[in-house]
Amino acid sequence: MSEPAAPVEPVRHPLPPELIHELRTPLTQIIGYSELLIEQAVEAGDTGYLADLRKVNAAGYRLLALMEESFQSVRTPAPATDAARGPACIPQPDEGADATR
Amino acid sequence: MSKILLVEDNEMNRDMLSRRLERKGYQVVLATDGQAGVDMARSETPDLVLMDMSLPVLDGWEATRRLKADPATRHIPVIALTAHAMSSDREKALEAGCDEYDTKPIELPRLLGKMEALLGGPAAEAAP
Repeated sequence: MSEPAAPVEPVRHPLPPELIHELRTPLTQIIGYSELLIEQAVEAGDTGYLADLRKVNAAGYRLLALMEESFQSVRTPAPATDAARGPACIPQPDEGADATR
Repeated sequence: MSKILLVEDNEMNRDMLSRRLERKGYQVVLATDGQAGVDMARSETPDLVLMDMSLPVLDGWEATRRLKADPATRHIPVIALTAHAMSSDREKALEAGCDEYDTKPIELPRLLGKMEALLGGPAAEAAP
């Protein structure tokens, strides 16, 4: 009888900046359309879908926060050792990246 | 009612943002690439241009340079919209002549604040 598997710790790797850029387009649509539908539902007094629409919107912002977190971790200056610098294919964003986004 | 030219090649972004702006009382005209944006700015004389930067045919930076080089359109404020979030992108947009810069995903109140600052007042006041 094998021993139960140890709980797997979630591994978070920084997303490449170009992938973050690509993800922003569909995320813009998820957040934007959900906000548009929320506005319309509120105006129409249609509360049937409002709670679910707000969940979709909140999930979009949660995903945005995770992307920003990943973006910030990529921005953190890397140690001077090659081994610690990560894959060479990941471009390093500018040091002066906008901290608000 | 202020007339806004939205230059955006992504159909869903164009549809979503134009509908949200129309709900806020703006008249929105659309262009799907940078060259069409330049042409429409000349023909429609909008009060403000929302310019995506990653555009086909003519990118947003070059389209903005041409608008700002043309005496007929140089007075029109241009807000750059981009999914890039680095300060170099902002600087690049401002160097091309953009008057403001905002990032995607759009936070509508923030964008409206920038638009109103450039237009000189809230569009909602003029909305029917």
